[in-house]
Amino acid sequence: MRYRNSWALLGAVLALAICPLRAQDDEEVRKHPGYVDFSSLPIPSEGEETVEVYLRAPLLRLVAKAASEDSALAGMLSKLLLIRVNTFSIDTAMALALQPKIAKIESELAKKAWEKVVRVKDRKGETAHVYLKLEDSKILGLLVMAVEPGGEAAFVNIVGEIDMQAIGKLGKKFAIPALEGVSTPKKSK
Amino acid sequence: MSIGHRLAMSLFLATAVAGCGNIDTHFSHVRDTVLRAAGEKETKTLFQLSIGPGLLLLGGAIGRCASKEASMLLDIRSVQVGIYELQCSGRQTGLIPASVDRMLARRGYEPIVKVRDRGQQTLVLAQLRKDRLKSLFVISADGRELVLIEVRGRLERVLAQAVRQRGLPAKPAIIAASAAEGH
Repeated sequence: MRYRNSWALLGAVLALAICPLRAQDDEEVRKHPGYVDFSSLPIPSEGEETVEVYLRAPLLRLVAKAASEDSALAGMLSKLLLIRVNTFSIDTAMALALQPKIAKIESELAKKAWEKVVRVKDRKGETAHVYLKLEDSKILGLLVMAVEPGGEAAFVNIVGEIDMQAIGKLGKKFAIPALEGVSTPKKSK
Repeated sequence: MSIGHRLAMSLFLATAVAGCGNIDTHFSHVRDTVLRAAGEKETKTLFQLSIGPGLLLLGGAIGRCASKEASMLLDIRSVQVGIYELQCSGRQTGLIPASVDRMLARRGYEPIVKVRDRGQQTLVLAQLRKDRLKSLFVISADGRELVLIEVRGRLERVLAQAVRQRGLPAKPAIIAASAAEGH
């Protein structure tokens, strides 16, 4: 029993030692200019269809090594800090409820000097917004918000140095359709 | 049979079955937490398997001659698989409780993919240390079955092969969820 307690104590000490490191990592990502806080979005914890992807730098570096055959993609992956994807099914009412939240995020992005590169709204009410965070001619963050009333809402945030030539490949490889249409940015005013 | 042959046979059997047998307590805690949350009073095991380093080493050593993929067994330290019956097929959501995330987070696991699709829920967690992928845990429940898989070892080479064949980490889980939708 004494040994079991010692192991439990050792485990707890190790867990306590590791947790602050992870919290520190997360804090670093949250402070990064390319990070966007989705917490204001009414992302359903329970729903018909939801997909959440949360890939942090250590795993992305491993994947970069694994994807070494495609040097452009591997190069970009090794510079990324976070890939976060939230997709969920929405009805028309929920799509309407999302609009003010998206507008709030957009005003926050404008304050932080994010560049709007795509804004699409079609007759069916489908909307798509693509924003980039540019600093010293480097892209440090990407945000995609796409809403299809009666269909699906997709929110994608990529944090870190981004190569726009490789971003389409990333969408294809990670099965993120919202990224496949994103290509080299055109400045909009 | 000579003493040498007997010794060799005993050594072979000891190596082959080392680590095989019951799942470990941490794996059974995850199973029990999900089953309890789903309202199951007892565990109905449909399939359960735990393979330790002995058999994997043997398989890897034999497979090394056959193919590169089989030789990757040498990188895997243990595999635990469990399939359990669930009787809550009417239930659409909340099959995998948040306490499982927290329980596995205490063991250094972080969730990388969560998929919920019409009553099916899949959670993929990874345990990383420095630049090493130490283990992967997959939990999938659809109201009729709970599937748990844990693979431990040096999984970088396995990940590299998976990336080459199936795309990046999020993709297999999303493909699996889409495939389940088709059934």
